[in-house]
Order: sequence, then structure tokens, then C-alpha cells
Amino acid sequence: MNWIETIKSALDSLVERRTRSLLTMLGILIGIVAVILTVGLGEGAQGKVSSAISSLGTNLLIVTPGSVSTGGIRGGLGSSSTLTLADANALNSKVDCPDIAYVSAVMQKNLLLTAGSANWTAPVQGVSPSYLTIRDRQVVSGKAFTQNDVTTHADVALVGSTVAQNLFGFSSPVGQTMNLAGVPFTIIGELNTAGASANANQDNTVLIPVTTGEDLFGARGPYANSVSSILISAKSSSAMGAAYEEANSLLLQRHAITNPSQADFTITPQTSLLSTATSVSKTLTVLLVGIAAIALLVGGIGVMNIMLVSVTERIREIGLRKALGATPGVILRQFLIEATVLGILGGIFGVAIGVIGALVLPHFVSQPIAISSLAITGSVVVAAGIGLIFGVYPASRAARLSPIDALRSE
Amino acid sequence: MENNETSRDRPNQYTDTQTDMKTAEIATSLKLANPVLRSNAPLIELESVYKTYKMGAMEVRALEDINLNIDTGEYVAIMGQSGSGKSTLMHILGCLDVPTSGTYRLNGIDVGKMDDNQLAQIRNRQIGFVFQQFHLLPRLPAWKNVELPLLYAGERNHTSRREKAERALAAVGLKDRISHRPTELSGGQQQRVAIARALVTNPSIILADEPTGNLASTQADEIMGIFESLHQQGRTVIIITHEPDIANRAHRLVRIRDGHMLGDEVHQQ
Ligand SMILES: Nc1ncnc2c1ncn2[C@@H]1O[C@H](COP(=O)(O)OP(=O)(O)O)[C@@H](O)[C@H]1O
Ligand SMILES: [Mg+2]
Repeated sequence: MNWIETIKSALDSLVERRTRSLLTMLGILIGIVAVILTVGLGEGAQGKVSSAISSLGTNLLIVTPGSVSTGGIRGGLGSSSTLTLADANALNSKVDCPDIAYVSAVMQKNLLLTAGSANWTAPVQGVSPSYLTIRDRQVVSGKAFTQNDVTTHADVALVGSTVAQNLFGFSSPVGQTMNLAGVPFTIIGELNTAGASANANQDNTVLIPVTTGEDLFGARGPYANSVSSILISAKSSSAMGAAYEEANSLLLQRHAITNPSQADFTITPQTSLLSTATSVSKTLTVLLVGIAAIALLVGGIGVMNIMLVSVTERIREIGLRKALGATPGVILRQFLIEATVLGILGGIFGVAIGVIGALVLPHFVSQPIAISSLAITGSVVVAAGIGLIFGVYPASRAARLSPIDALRSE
Repeated sequence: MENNETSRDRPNQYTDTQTDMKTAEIATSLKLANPVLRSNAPLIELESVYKTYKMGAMEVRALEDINLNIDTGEYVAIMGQSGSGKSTLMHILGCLDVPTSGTYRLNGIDVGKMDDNQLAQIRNRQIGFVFQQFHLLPRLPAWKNVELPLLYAGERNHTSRREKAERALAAVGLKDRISHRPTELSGGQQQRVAIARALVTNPSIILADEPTGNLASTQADEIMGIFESLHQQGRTVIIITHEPDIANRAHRLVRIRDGHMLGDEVHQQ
């Protein structure tokens, strides 16, 4: 009996027992749906995390005061505010740091904001005009402040949507006045909505010129002119390494530090944040796939169970076929094909339902589900493999049956 | 199984003169080393055949010291009471089972030395079975039931398979029942489908185990008529029965009781 005839005969006998075939397929199907949705959820979450992190800015290096390798000499992170506006200006030099595109000093303090009877507390950040470029933020209404505003210590502010809503409700904040620590500021622009990142709501923010911030936050004494951090944007992601080296050696030199391990600042590339976050969600994906694999295993055992029942039930048919000249190999093939077809059909329907689920579910659970072509092709192959593997035992039992025992059984 | 030259080229009428050629062909197609080829060897040769079934500690001696030769073209009845070992004997003759001891030579070739695949091939090419319970596949139409042995013979051409199946069904008088399912046929008709299936590969031996056991007497008569005409065409027909009426229609009667051969008489009619 050739392959085509064997496949036909296998399909015939699956159709004969269609209800049972469908129920068996259901086991595989559920496993495959689970695989597609969990892999999709995992990848979707990973995509969400990386896009959230890249929304912090592109090619970003963050310089913070203090050292992580303190060696017991310096205080904790941020305790020595040794970064200054002058440092930020020096980093902006195209001669010393050719791989750095933009630099912005950031000074930050949580302040009470008032406008009329409304009040709200938000982090207020004194920044350079290039901050918007570095952080990839846009002004959606009004305008951004300029270098001129920085030079003149202008009392102007940009607000995020959370701040705007809490102070002005649904009316436009642009052109309105709000008080920061008793100082009236004119709101000249509203920022685009950026969503929440891993650790902060980026829409709950007020941006003012860095010089105005210096005046407002009233840094005096040993920490005069100090900034909370300096943001650096490299020319490209491939220039991140070079930009890091340039910033590092310039700051070491400016702070007169000869031993790099004694540095009083820390430069963190954004990529390290990204890889930490993605490795977390990869672990999650592995876990989910593990659960899905168990579902598939259960489906496979279902196939084996049904095929064993089928062999017992068709024992006379098997005996007859052998009496008519079917070799053990032909019988083996027929049952293997039946099991594999069950697997493949379960896989195909599972993929169909899984993809529909991946398209429909995000509307209800507000969780992105990626449709991965690897998961789809992989699923069908795995489903076929499961049918085949779990079909081996029942099929070889059928093949080994002695024709008379099979014919005699009632 | 891939080589089906023998079944395709063999003419419908099976005659004595072809025996030797056929033995050689089968030996080659089975890749048997040094087959015993004797030009005058009987078709079937049983030499002190024993068959013992083990049921736990108990042993059932189903056949004891059976010596039996059957020549090509004979029409033999094997008769005995229920439990006397008739079916066991038929299973051995039909290569469905092997003796516990003793030798069985078919066409001069020792069946005991064959593996499962070679036995399957012998059953497919040389033997046509007819069972008491018909053993038709209930969901397949008549012609698909009849076609089965051709599938296992490796006959690839769909049209030719169907034609052969239809011809075999016509030969048993079921020309107009080709697409009926077994459930849509009477017992006698079902048994005729089974005979057509036994005939379709044009085997030299027809083995029937109580073929009329489940049939009313008029239907039984028709079926026996078919066996007689098969015999007249030159085929070897072996019928197993416990009914003397049926047994007496054959030309040779082998009696067995409790696994022993009691007698072997030839009655010319
Ligand atoms: N597979 C088997 N296992 C055990 N005993 C068997 C088996 N097949 C047949 N027998 C026994 O062998 C004897 C002959 O059986 P069988 O050949 O079927 O007789 P018949 O066909 O003449 O009625 C009986 O006693 C039966 O119980
Ligand atoms: Mg019997």
C-alpha cells in the first residue's frame, strides 16, 4: 500500500470517528492556543517594556553624582552633588566630545503648584532646551523655551498632561499662570503624552529653564550650581561607546580624579536598563512557554490514549487487514499517520484560534499580544511531532498484533 | 509487496502446469535462499504438525501430529465438532499462525522459516480467506472491501483496482451491489462479497472457515455453488465445517477430533 492510499485510509478512519477525532484534536488545539497566546503575551510585554524604555530618549547616557564603587570613601549615591552646570556646558563642547550630540543638565525638586484654587504636587525639572530632543518629547500646543529663556532666567514653564489636567481641567494650560513655590510662572507649552515608564509618570512633570531652576531651588553653600543629573545623547547608537569614553575622561579630568575607580559620578547607558528589563520579560516568556508545553504534553497523552482505544476497538479490522496481506509496516504507518494527522489538524485549528485570540483579546485586557510567525510555524510542527511521537506506542501495538488473536476477539 | 508481477500477469484460470513456474517466482519474490523446489511437490504439505496453546499453567493441544498433503485443484472439506481444532488448522494452512512443531511446506517452501512480511505476502498472493463472520469493513462499500487485498498487493492504479473488484463481484453475482455497504446486504450477499475479496488477487488456494455457518440454508446452497464453480475453474478449495451436508459436497473429506486426524477419504462424484 503506497503513502497516498495509506493517508486516504487514515483520513477515512478519522472521519468515520469524527466526534472522537475532534475531541482528540481539541487537546492539541488547546495546547497550541496556549502556546501562541503565551508566547504572544510574552513578546508583547517585552515590546511594551522596550518601547517604554526607548521613550525615555534615544542613545541616552545618564550621568549621576556619586559613585557606585565607593570603596568606603564617598557617601551613597547622590549624596555628593558634584555635578555642576559647568560640567554640562563642558560636555557640550564639540571639540572635546565629538560623539555627543546633545547635553542637558537636569535639576529636580518636588514642588507644590498652585493655579487659582487648584493645587498639585509634581516634580519640577530645570533643564536645557535640548532636553526635549534627548527625551524625545514634543510640545503639542504652545512653544518650547529657548536658549534665550535660559540666559534670561525666564519664569516660563512647560507642563505635562497630568499637571495640566489637575490644575486646569479640560481648558488649555497654555498662556495661564501658575505659582511654583510662590513664584508666578507663565505656561508657554504643553508636552505630548508619553505614558508611564517603569518608575515614573512622565506626564506628571513641569519643565523650566535650568537657570531659573537654579534660582528657584535655591542651591546654596557647598552644593551651589550642582545639578541632579546630566543627560547626554550620543550621535548614534553605535557612537554610545565613544560618547561614554569622552564624557568619562572629560569629567575625570574636570574633577581632577586620576584613578577612574575613584570617580565621583556614574554614567549609565540606557541600553543596560533595556537589557535588564528585556531579560526580566524573557524569563516570563520562558515560564509561560513552559506552562504551554505542559498543555501540549497533556494533549499528546490524549492522542496516545485515543489511539490506544482505537487500536483495541479496531482489533478485528487490524486482524482482517493482516489476513488480507497487510504487513506490520503498513499497519504501523496507518496508525502513525492517523495520529500525526490528528496532531497537524489540532495544530492548524489551534493556530487559527490562537491568532484570532491574539487579535481580539488585546481589546479586552489592554495587554498587547504579538503574533509571532515562529510560534505559528513552530506550533504546527510541534503538534505534528506530538501526534507522531505519541502515536508510536499505539501504532506499534497495532502492528505487532497477531492476526488470529485479532480476528478471534469478539 | 512492491513486486506484484505474479498477480498481475497470472491468467484468471489457475492450472497445474503453472505450479513449478509459480513456485520459482514466489521463491524469488520472497528472496528465499535455496528453496526446496520439487516439480512434483504437493501444493500443501503438513508433516507431524503440532499446535499447543498455553493458557497460564494449562496447555491446550489444539492439533496433534497432523500429516496432510493437498494437491493443486483439490476440493477438500475438513470436518469436526466444535473445538476439534479445525480453525486452528485453517490458520496454519492460511499462514495466519505457525505450528508449535512440525513443518508446513506451501509450494515446497517451508513456511516456518518466513518472517512476518513474507507471511503477509503469501496471504496476500496465494490465499483467499472466507470467514464465518464475513469480516467485512462495515463502513466501506462492497467494491472497496473487495479492493483491499489489491491495495496490500501494491496495485497502484486506482481504475484497475476498481475494475478488478467489480469483475470479482460480478463473478459472485453481485454486479448490481457494487456500491452497497455491508449493512445494506443480506448475509448471503455479504458472504459473496467476502468471496469476491478472496478471489480478487487470483490466489491458488481458497480457505473457508464455516462459510455457511451464519447463513440460512438457501443462501448456504448458493455459497456452496460458488465454491464448486471455483473448484471447477481449477482452484484449490478447502472448506472447514461441522455440518456433514456441507462436507459431503467436497471431493475429499478430512475428519478431525480433539486435534487428531481421524480419517481422510476421497469420494469421486
Ligand atoms: N488462542 C487460543 N488460546 C487458547 N486456546 C485456544 C486458542 N485458540 C483455540 N484454542 C483452543 O483450541 C481448541 C481448538 O479450537 P478451534 O481450532 O477454534 O476449534 P474449532 O474451530 O474446530 O471449533 C479449542 O479447545 C480451543 O479452546
Ligand atoms: Mg472454528
